[in-house]
Amino acid sequence: MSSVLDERTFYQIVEAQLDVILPMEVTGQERLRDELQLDSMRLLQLLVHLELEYGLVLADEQLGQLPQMTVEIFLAALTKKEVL
Amino acid sequence: MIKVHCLVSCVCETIKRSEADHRPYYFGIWDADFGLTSDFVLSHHAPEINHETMVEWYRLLYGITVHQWYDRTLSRATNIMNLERLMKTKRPEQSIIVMLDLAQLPERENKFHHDVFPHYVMLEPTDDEETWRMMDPDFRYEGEIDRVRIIQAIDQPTVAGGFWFDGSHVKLPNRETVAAYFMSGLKRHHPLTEAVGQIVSHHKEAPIRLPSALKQLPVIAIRKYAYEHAFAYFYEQLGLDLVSSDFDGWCDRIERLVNQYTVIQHRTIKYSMTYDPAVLTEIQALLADQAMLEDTIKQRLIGLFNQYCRKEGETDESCTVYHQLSPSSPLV
Repeated sequence: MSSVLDERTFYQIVEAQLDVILPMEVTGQERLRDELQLDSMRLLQLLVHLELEYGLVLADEQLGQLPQMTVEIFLAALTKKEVL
Repeated sequence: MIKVHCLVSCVCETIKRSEADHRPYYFGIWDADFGLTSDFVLSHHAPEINHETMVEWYRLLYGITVHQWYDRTLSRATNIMNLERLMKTKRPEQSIIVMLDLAQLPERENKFHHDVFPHYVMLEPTDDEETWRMMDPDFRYEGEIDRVRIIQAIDQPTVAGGFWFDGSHVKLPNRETVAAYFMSGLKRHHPLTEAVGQIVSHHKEAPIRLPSALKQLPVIAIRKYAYEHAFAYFYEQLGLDLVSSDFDGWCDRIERLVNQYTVIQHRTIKYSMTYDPAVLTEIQALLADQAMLEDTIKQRLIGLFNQYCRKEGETDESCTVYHQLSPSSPLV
């Protein structure tokens, strides 16, 4: 799966934006909530940041599954926002 | 099994082990009480919520009296002493329920990762006096934890509550009581969507606190899954097949209702970061859509209920014609 954002950049954004320190070993298989300990509020904040700064969005229908997503699945689900 | 409401999950464990159907007890949980503070912050629990009505209906439906052992007029220390006494004398057929702050037990799953998380669980003693077994049906957890650590989670200013009951004789709920309970929880208005609308409106000029005001929205939103239990119950009572009928379509609508609260939460965060009036307009449109969607779900449920009543020999449907309901119901 090709992603519009690479994992390394994503981890840097998470640490900078959410003020968290991620585990040393990250593989992309970590679930956003259970392994990275990102609660739903933080995830939504992150999503808004990605939209405003990088023009990346997640479909509304997928928002409910966001906490259960792995990093890899989340990055693959992000799309470039359409400019109208 | 879907997580809906922690106290309901605790008391339904006993019903699930019996011949009785636990699903009617979920009627009305979709609109169960929540807190809205004077500064417009939503909370899934509030001190004024005492669950008295909920446990009274449990008695009427299943014949089990739920006693409140936690006495709010006594100190927390005295209540904890009373809990320890209850635990020492607990009989196997008894269930002891306590409210604790789940955030104080970090090894336990706290799906919502809240700093404070009032939550009902069940407790049992073990052979070791210093260890209690904690059962948390809502999060499908059962395990042994140090007694002292559980007490620490109970001894928090944010939590106060506890019940016990003897579950040895579960009565099968009769039709009249099921019908009365259904009607007692039926509201034509949609308290959660309305509360979210009030919160958005209150914070719209200075939305910086809007995200934290809605932080607990997901915990309350999942109560809407209670609709699924009601649909499944009535479909089965009416002999409708869950697979070949339109049951899945209604589950999809319920799922959309729950998910759309997450969409609303996302937009409120976006609005708090952008102050963009177009986002505010979008939030208002989403809230209007939520109200319409829940209207549709309630109307279908009432239609099923009326079919169920007809099947059971009840002919007077006038009291459950949706549009005749007072917006400030419950009916009974």
